[in-house]
Amino acid sequence: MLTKAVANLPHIKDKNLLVGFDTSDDGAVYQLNDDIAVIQTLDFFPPMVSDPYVFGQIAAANSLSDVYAMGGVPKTALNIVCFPESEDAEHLSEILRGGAEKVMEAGAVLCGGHSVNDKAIKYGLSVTGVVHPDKILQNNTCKIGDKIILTKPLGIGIVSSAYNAGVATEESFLKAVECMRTLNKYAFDVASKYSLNACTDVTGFGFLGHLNEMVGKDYSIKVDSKKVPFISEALKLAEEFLVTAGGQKNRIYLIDQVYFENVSDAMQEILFDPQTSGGLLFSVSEKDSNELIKELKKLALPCEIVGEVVERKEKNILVI
Amino acid sequence: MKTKNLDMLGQPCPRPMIEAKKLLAEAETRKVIVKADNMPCVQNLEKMAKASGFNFSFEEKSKTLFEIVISKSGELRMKSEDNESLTTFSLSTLHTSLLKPYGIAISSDKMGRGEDELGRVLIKGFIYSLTELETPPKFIAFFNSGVFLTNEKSNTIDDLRKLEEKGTEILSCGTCLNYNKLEKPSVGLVANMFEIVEHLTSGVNIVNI
Repeated sequence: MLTKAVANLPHIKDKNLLVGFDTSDDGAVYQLNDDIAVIQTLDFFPPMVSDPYVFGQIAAANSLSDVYAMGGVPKTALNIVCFPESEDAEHLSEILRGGAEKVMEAGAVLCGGHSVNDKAIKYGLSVTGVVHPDKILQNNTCKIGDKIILTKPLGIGIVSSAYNAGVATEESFLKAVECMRTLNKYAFDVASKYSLNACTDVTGFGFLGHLNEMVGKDYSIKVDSKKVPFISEALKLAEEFLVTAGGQKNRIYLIDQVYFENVSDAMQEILFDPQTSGGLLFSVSEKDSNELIKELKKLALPCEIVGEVVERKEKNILVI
Repeated sequence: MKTKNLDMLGQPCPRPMIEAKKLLAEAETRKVIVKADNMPCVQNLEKMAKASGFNFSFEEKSKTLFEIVISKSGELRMKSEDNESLTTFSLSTLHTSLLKPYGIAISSDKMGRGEDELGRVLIKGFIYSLTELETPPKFIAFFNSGVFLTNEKSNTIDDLRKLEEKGTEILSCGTCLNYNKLEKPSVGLVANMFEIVEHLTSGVNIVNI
C-alpha cells in the first residue's frame, strides 16, 4: 500500500540526496559537503508494553537504530507524541523520560518535539545523525562471500504480543524488553572498526523481510536457521500458532522470495516475526567476521553469524 | 453438539487464536464461528485448523469483517449422547438410528471442496476417526479417485487395515482402479458396479463423503 502511495510523489532530483525512497533504506541521507552527510529518520508507534517509561525507552532505541543502520552517529532528536488530553499527564512524562534517557545514552541531544491530542497513544522520535559520505552503509551492497551477522535474538514480536494476551511467561517478556530497549549503538560501535559492506536493522518486516532488502540482483543470501538466535519460548508459542498478524503479512509478502529447506513451520514463524527495535544485520567479509563476532559476543545480547552471501540463485533467500 | 460464536473484532493476534483454541479444546464444541477483522488473522487460524485436522472455511463480508468457520470433522463420536452433533456435519442419516449398521461411500481421495491439501488431511482424519468408533462401518465403498486411498502408497492404508480387522468390508471399484492404472488394492476386495450398487442399496444407512 505504501509503495503505491509513495509512487505518486514528485520525483526530486538533487545530487546531494544520496539515499532517498528508492531503496527501502532505513533513513534518508543528504550530503552537505565533502566530509559530512546528514541522516534523517522518523519512527513512532503505539505502546507494546504497559510500563510508560519502558515504552519510551523502546521507542527511542528503535528510532535511534535507523541512524546506526545507515552507518552514522545520532546527533539531535525531536519527540513525536500522540496523547489523549484525558489521560494522566504523569503517564506522558514517564514516556518522555524513558525516551530522553535513551537519547542521552546514545550521546545525542533531545532538542524539542511536537504533540497532538489523539485518542490512541503513540510515541517516537525523529533523529538526525551524521556520517562521512564515504562511510554510508546501504542495505543492498553486500559482496559474495560475506557473512551475515545478526546482533539481537528474534521472537520479540511473538513474545510481547503473547505476553500481552496472557500466554507468555514474565521471564521471556523481560528478555524481549531487554532486547527492545538495548541501543544498537553498542553493536555498531564494535562493528564500525571493521569494514562493513552493508547494514540494516531488523524491525517490522521481520528478519527475512529486512534480509530481503539486503539482497541484490547479483547475489542471494543463504541462512542457516539453526544458527539464528531467538528467545526460546517464542518457538513454543509459534508451535501453538500464537503468532502475530504482522508475521503472517510478512510471510505472504515474502513467500515467493524465500526457499525453505527443511525448516519447521514454527521456526519459519520466528524468521517472519516483526521485531520492535530489533538488532542490526551486518554484511562483512568472511575474513573479518570471526573477529567481529568474537567482539560482539562480549556485549549483553546473543548474536551470531547467521548466513552468507552466495552466488545468485532463483530465490532471493535460501533458508536451511 | 455445540456451535460457539466468537467475536474477535478489534482483538489483535494471537488473542483470536487463544480463544478459538480454548473453545475447540472443549469436548462439547463441534464448531466455532469466529468474527475477525483482518486477513492475516484468518490465515493464522487456517494454519492451526489445517494442522489440527479441522474443517476450515471463511467468508469475507467486508474488508474488515471476516467470518471463519472451524469444525471438528475429524473427530466423530458415535456415542448416543452425541447424536445432535452428528447432524452438523451431514451425517444426519445416522443420528436417528445409530445402532443400525451403516456403510460409507467415498468418491474422492479428498474430503470436501476446497484446497486439495486440506482435503487430503481431512480424509485421512476421517478414516482414522472411523477406527476409533465403537461401531465401525459395515463397509466402505471406494470409487472414482477414492480408490487411491486403498493403494499401498496411501497414508490411510494402516487405518483401513485396522478397520478390516474390526470387520469392515473394504471395496474398491475395479473400473476406477483400471482407469487410474492402479495395482490391486492392498486392502479389501475389488468390486464391480453391480456389487457396489448392491451394497449401497442393501438398506443400511449410507454416509456419503
